[in-house]
Amino acid sequence: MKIIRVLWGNDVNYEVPKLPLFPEHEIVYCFDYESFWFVKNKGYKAHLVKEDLFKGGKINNFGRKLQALDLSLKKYKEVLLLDWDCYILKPLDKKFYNSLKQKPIQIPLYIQHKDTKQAIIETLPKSQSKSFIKELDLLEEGFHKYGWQWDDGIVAPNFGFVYCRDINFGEKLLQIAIKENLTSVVDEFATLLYVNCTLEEYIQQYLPTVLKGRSDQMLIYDCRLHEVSRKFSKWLDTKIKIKPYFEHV
Amino acid sequence: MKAIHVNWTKPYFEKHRLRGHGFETIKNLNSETYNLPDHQILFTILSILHWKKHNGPIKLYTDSIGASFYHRFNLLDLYDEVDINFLNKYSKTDIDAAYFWTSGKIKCLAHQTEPFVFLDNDMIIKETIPEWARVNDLTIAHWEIGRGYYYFDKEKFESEINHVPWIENYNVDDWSPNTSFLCFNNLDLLNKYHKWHKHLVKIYPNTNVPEWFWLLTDQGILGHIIRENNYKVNTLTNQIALAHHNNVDGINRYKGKAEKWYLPLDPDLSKEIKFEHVWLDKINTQNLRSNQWFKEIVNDFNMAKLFKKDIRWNKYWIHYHENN
Repeated sequence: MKIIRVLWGNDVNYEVPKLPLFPEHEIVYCFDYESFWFVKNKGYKAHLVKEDLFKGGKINNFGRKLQALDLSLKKYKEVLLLDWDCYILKPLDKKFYNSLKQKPIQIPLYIQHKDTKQAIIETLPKSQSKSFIKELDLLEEGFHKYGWQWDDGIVAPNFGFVYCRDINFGEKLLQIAIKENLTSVVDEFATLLYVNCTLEEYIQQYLPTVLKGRSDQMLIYDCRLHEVSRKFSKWLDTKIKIKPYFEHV
Repeated sequence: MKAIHVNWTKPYFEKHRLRGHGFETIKNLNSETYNLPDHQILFTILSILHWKKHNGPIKLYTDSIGASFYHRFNLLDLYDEVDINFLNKYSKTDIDAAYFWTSGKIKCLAHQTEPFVFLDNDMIIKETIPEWARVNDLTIAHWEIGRGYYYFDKEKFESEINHVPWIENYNVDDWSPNTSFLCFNNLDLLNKYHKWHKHLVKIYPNTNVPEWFWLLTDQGILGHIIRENNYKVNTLTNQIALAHHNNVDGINRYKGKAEKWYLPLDPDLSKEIKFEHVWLDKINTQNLRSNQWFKEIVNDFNMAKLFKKDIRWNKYWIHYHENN
């Protein structure tokens, strides 16, 4: 199994470790020469994607993760796509690999408050840029359109960790993203359209047992987003036993 | 001068069996996943920054888990060089990482091919290492007088250790070198140290080895090698540390309570190097100066950026702003 990383936009370059943390398994997909040489110089094995299907900047850059997923599945057959801020917490042992065997596609869940934009703004320093506010508008619109309503929040898959051995999965998500002209978290909305099931069914079919979509450790503030996230996390604990090997912060 | 730090995480994952009195804080962490207390992150940062300021480059040997953790808390970029392959590979051997938690370190030392300094992650060197520390065979932090549980004699050794015979000429009354700082100038000494260590830690699976034995495989045997080969050793301080001291402030000296540091007759006080070894405070956690260390990193080293990303540091920022 290969561990796939994606340099999907300039904002993530600072998160790249100074050397590959999984030297024999880690492959980085890049979308421009600068990023390609940036990671090559750090010692990573890298691929430069020839045709960028998501050139819309922050409006649809997350779609690049779908491209990387598709290309890597076609090439390596079984992959674990990891965000740069998804940290390994313990050695990947037999129990870990056995848990991956249980389901061919595994993606964790997270929740946004139903008042998505304002609830995020509450957690951030004041005076955010206009372009960021516009991104939040798109995020809110998408969550309301595609996500599962749960209590005061809306639930979606979190693409920070994607395990997959269904080699057509990436291609199908790509087709959905392009056909539906998805924006914002393109990868997550495409997944919601692909699974086309209830939240309970998703938990049974797709939820991994090796991490949560958003780390419990980060949910410390007295705000609406963290409140609903804590509540959702507790509820998930009643549905499935999660023993963390990774933490997505 | 090049230094190395070692953070081998394999012992952490067997912490229920972990030997070593300095690990109480780790053993008490209620977590199956890798973690370190705040103070350990802070003193590691200071150890790196002070070394770079006064002495030069520093390399980290760790494994994938350690590198991931250090990356998350912004330590990885502070190092001039990082190696994870060596310890990833060593972790796949059958070494008992819980009993011999310093084996990863000694393996990394043995991997060096030119004179270098090893620093414990809680060893903070506060000035340039002078020329006199770079001659002779070895410079250590200081000598120690073994006492208490870690003190053994031939009779105890032979009754409790079955996998190796008594070490000929080993003198349990001699001082032991503290290995928190090691400047290896003579690599033959290093080779001998590695060979002896390998010999001592080669146990059969499920062999029960007493708590005191790991210190022999690390510090005790180094002292033995020094004496057997008449190697010349410098120390960062003339003072000698007493194990199991029970008097911190000297108030109870009159009734025979033992203090930590002792100065021998005719010390050469021109040979003293400023350092801070957190060491005993790791056990005595109420004495930790975490807020001061945080402030030193932010103010003296202008490294506030290290603490911007993770919410772990929020309480330190609050304390910092309330007191500055």
